[in-house]
Amino acid sequence: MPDRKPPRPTVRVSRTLEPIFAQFLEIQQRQRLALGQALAAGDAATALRLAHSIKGAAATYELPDAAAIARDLEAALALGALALAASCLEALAAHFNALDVVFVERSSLPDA
Amino acid sequence: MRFLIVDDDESIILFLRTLLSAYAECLTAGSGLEALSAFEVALEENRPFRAVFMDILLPGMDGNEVVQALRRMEHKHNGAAEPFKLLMISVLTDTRNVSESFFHGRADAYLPKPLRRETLLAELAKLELVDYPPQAR
Repeated sequence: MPDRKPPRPTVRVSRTLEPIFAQFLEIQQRQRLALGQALAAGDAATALRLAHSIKGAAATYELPDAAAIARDLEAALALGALALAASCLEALAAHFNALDVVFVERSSLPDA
Repeated sequence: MRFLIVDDDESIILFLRTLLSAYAECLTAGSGLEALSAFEVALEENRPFRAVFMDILLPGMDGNEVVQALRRMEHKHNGAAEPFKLLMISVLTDTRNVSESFFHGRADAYLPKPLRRETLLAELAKLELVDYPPQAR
């Protein structure tokens, strides 16, 4: 049977971030877990704060697609749409789990 | 030279501490209260911070409130000495927050997230805190 799994999204990230990227991913995993716990407990304020943090951090670590999902998550929480927020959180986790990062020189990136 | 980095996000602290440690001894704080405490100790030990990197959205006191408290502490301790350089860092770039940072906190720079190494170092060079880009030989 052919492998029908979708290709892993490859993201090009500045080489200067390579030494701290694994630590960043660990922090993000913890924050997503805490966000899920806040959602389960109905603690929208904590969930909103964490979504905001994840959005800013993902953008700083040059992961625009992750930042966009976190932005949708933050917007859903701001509207009180907790079911939609939970769905965004699942999408965010799936995105991070499938992430394939390639470190390149900053000058070769489109926004350099 | 010593820098104080104030942000409640571990990933941002990691990014800034890693980048800035090449230029200064970096202390970090995850809240306004921690920042006030670190700042007070630094003044008491006569090892003041040359620059403070301050997020605006913090748990409890927001960054602008913290900065005004730091400025009061600094003035009370040594009004004549050179004030610390203040770099506000936030996704909030609305007029009210920017105005408050510059006029009440006497900010020297306002860096919007997402942070970029090159932008940050260029701002620090403008403030004469680092030598960047390195001098051509």
